[in-house]
Amino acid sequence: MTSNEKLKVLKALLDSLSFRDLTLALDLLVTGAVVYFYASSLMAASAEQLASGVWISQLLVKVVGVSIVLSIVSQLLLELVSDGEVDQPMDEREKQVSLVGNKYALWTLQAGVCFAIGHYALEQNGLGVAERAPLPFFTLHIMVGAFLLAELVNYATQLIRNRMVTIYG
Amino acid sequence: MAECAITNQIRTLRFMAGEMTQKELAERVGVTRQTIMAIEAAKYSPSLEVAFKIAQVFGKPLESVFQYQHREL
Repeated sequence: MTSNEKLKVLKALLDSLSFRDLTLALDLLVTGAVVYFYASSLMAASAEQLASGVWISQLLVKVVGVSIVLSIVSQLLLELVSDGEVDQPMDEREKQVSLVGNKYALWTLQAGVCFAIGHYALEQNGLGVAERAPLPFFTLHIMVGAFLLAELVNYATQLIRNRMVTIYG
Repeated sequence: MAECAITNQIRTLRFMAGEMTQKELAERVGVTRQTIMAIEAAKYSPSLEVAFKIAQVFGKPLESVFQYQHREL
């Protein structure tokens, strides 16, 4: 495929994107960036930092801050490129797609919370698996991870279902 | 087991209405182009309100635009 053909394919793809697709793609990118920030901060931290409740709390505040700033920037970008579409409500099909996304996000979140509860119960009872947890405050990290993963699942599902003709198939 | 399907004549009616685009129809009905595309492909059954609006755009009665078929599998 020549570069001209690639450009045409890219232009066709961009033309086929609805404003809702663009919004979801940006939300997905923002959440991905937040996940990257959280994961890279944990990986770069020393053992003392990981064991410090104060450091973990500060990290969570930073994650919320980064999330808010990126959300504001993405909304400003959408406002710039939209032709009044930002204020338009979702149509009936988009609302159904949103419900499907929320359903899978809820399942992800529930699985994460159940896993965290199970881990906490094992840890409190001094049972095997929990004692070999890869990180201090592992239960907290499971819940934060489940929350972020649920957001990713929500946006990705909506984006895929929006692009597909069928909602449930 | 029975399969219910709502078919439609939207593609034909668009062609007859001066090759109206999906985008134009979507704007007149108040939905997105993706929704019109899904309805046209019989992959999404619209609400009564949207179905009536589509029929109104083409100036046809509802049953000329949408047909209900009940199939036994």
